[in-house]
Amino acid sequence: MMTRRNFLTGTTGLLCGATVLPAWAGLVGDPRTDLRPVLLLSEHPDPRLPFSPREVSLEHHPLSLERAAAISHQAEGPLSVDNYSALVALGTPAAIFALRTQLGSRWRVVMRGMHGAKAARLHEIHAPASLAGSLAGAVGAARDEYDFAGNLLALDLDPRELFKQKRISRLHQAQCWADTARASLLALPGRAV
Amino acid sequence: MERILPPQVNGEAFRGFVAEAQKAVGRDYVYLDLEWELPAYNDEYATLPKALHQPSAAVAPANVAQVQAVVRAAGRYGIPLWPISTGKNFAYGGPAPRLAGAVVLDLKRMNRILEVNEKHAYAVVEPGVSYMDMYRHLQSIGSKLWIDPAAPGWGGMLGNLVDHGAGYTPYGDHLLMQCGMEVVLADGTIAHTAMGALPGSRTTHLYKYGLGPWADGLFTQSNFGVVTRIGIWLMPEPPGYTPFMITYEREEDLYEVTERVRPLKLNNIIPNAATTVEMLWEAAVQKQRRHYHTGKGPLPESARKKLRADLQIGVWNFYGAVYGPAPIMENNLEIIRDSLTSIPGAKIYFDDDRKGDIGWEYRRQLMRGIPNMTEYNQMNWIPNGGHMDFSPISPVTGEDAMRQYSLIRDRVNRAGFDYIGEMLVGWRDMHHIFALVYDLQDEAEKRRANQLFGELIDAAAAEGYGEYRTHLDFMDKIAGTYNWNDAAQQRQRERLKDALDPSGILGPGKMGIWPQRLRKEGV
Repeated sequence: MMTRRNFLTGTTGLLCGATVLPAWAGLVGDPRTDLRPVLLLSEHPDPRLPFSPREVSLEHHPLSLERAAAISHQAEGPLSVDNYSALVALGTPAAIFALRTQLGSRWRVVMRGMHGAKAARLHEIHAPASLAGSLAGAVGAARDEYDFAGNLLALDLDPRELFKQKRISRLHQAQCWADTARASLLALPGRAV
Repeated sequence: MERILPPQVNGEAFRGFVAEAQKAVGRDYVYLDLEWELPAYNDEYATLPKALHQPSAAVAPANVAQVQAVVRAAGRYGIPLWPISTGKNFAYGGPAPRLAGAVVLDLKRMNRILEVNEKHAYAVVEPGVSYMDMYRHLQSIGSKLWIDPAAPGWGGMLGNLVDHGAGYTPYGDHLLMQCGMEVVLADGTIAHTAMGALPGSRTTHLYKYGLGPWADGLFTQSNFGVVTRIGIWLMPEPPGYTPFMITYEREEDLYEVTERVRPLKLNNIIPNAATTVEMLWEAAVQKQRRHYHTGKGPLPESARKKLRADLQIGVWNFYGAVYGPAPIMENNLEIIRDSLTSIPGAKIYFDDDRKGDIGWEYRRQLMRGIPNMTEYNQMNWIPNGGHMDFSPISPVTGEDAMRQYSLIRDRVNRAGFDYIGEMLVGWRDMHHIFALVYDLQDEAEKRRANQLFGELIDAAAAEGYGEYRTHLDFMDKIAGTYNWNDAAQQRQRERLKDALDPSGILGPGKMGIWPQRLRKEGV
């Protein structure tokens, strides 16, 4: 099993092989110690992550427009988000927009990415200044959206610090990920702080 | 980002209201953070600065008692409230208030399905119940009732109905299928309408009108009260259902299609809200524009031709369905086939002909009352796209259909946009929906879209066409076009507003209706 330690320090050579990462504590931790897992939503039923969701504190669900629209804050809803410590999502611009509006004001979207919208190699990141800066390298090195997701999941974020900052937009020229526009999102529960 | 307070409200009054609202609904459900919480109540597709519709706070009550408490607190402090149900009305401004500084009264936590009556075929719901929620519930209890979802299906049943929304089954005129309401008035009083006003009424959701003036309509597209519960008639599952699609090759076929559809609708041969859909509406659901054309401006004919070939669609695509026992369906289909497929080039398709076709599949579901999100894929047509819908009503005649189509298409193309539209045929009218899609990152394009929208309103009004619903930015302008006899209707509505809501706290500016104290903010 991949441990929190070797995942975070990149000793498997998978994650850090693709990107330049500091030794972040990471959003995903050891499932034995982290009570609330991170939720990963992506279109692909088996995203090519550098680790198995079972080996870290991560749950994966497929994302479609229907699934995004069904995201709920009610425990009895089709997919309640209230029991997760963070949420990372990859999908079409429409699906990510739908998901964001479903999260509403109880979650805080700390990062929105639009990839290949205006031009195939152009990536726009909208995030608090410190996060937007630290993601520049991650965007640049990622070969595809799953590489990028791996980087997001490895982030060690201080929500209190992030929530004090204003969000900015940064444009990055990097690799083209797909022949259609893609979008990404990282959100944290707001009222937990 | 600065907090925008409502007009005539100082910081002390605002804080007083917030404290009372927090007491009423709990601190967790009063949203004040400008950077992280309130953007959820912005108009995401705004063509003008978002500050024009920026709320000062949002309050999310869980039940009608909490709604009453918030409304009363708003009355005491003069705080304007903007009620929303699920807040998904994105083509018309989403959850954002008309008036900057208003407090959004977010009712999505009130999400109970209060009753499903199988025998009499109706349901009673709170504002937070979406079409998808209701569909799942009906499936889970094994109900034989159908809903009539809007497209896309994540919208609230109550919110869509009170905004005069429409669907695609024979129950597509949503307000027509409404029966019984619970409303919180501006002074916090709860009122039940029509038969519901009778204590112990056994027919609240069976007979719409009660005794005396029918008031329910006054609480739709209005700001005279907060609707907290509604009865909706549901369609019993018919013994059979056969959807069909007919494609037409030429732009001018719209004339003949519309002429032939009118008698079929009037005589209920086609019982559902049938739809004539232009090719780019179909394309936008399934494709990204740049795969066919990377330049700005309207799509060239070469690209349109390739799209038609790739998707096996026509310039116009008519969707309808027949329902009932097999002999009735067969009989009606024969009439429909005779009438609608004798236009040169027309091709008719049924379910077996279009397996795997995304555009067909979501229409097939909608006409059968299955909510889905497929149509929302239009927001991938232009990545980072937004849209506003321009929605004039038309008579069901070929002449009017062509006149409206030309009126919109010509102006839209001149302004550098594509015509993306459909015409939904109801009992006696057509809802012509034109989706004006623009790039949210292109400030010049957004300004052009906003200006174009205003021009369309003027041009349509000059031809005798009015819109049935609109975006926040254009409520005053469109209300201003309904000005016959020195705007007698508008003045009547203002008198009603002043009588029912003398403090002017409910939905100021909704559909151009302003309370006396804010009337100068409007037209």
